[in-house]
Amino acid sequence: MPRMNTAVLILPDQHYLGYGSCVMRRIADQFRGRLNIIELNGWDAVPDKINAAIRQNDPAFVFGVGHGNVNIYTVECRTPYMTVCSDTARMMAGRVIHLNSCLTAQQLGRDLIAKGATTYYGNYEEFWLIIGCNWRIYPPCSNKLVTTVFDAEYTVEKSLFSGRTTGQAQQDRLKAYDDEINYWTSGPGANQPCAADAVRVLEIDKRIAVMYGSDSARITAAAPSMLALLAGLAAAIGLGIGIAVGSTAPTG
Amino acid sequence: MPIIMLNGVAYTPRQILEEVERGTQLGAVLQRMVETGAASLSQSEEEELAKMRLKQLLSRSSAIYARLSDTGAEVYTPQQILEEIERGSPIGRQWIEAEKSIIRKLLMLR
Repeated sequence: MPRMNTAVLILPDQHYLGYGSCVMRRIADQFRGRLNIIELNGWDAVPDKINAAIRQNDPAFVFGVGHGNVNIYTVECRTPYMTVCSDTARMMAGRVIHLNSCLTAQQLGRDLIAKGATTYYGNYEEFWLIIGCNWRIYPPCSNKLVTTVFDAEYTVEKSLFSGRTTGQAQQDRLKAYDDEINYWTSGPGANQPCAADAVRVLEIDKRIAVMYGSDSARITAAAPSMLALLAGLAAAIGLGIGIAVGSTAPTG
Repeated sequence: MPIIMLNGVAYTPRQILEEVERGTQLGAVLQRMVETGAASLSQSEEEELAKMRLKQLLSRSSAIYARLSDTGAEVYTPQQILEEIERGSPIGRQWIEAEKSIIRKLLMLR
């Protein structure tokens, strides 16, 4: 049984993958106090190290950004990591998986569910991003234009890490795409020179944002409610009083 | 950019407004189409309108795009996307289908 509150994030940087990894690192930073988050950055995002991290930490959730195709997900420097019917695909059984990787939803995502993964989020066709405007390439995370698609797509993680179910996270993801589109059509980004491009790319990515498998799973163990804590405390105090009374009461 | 087609002619919001302000019969028809959401585009008209809009957008765009695919190019210019659209490649189809979706939302047609 995979460990709740534990997530492995595969975050390669080469071949423009740093644009997504950068956004995910920021999200990880927000949740690090509440979850055990293991980041595999750059050259740590390679098959041996990923497999070791998964075996060692047995995470309830695995995220990976990478170049992909219908039956393959690749990691740093386009190194193949997971293919349909592979041992690696079988390692995902019992886990919630998010592969931000072109086309993987067509075969690989379905195979992961067939091999026992709890839930899969992925991209059914090409996943597009914008890396520049005015013919200039911008660095990762340097402005809203280059983060916009990931701000929407990685709402999955923000929701799951906050304790929402897999189905709720999918709804949040689709709504986030609409929010990003509104930002560029009628919000603060509307006058940006590449606003119309951002809208097209977001529309494409929203259309291909799929989820398979369970919609009621969570990756966080429910924290005890305040009421449950108080009840536990009261019971402990009551037990303590009972012992004290018992020890002092007259016996005969 | 054009948002509706009538009898094979595409109209931008500005052109529609001008016709309405001039009080023409065409303006009245166009206004009714927009206001009632009754404009029904045929499949081919919708396809043509989507291509027309993308051509206008991409021909003046200075954006640089990338994709997360393990085959072919990683980075695309607007001109390269246009070529994909003209070739009718899967990438071109993806952009056209998204543009159709945007047109429908604009007019709440379907």
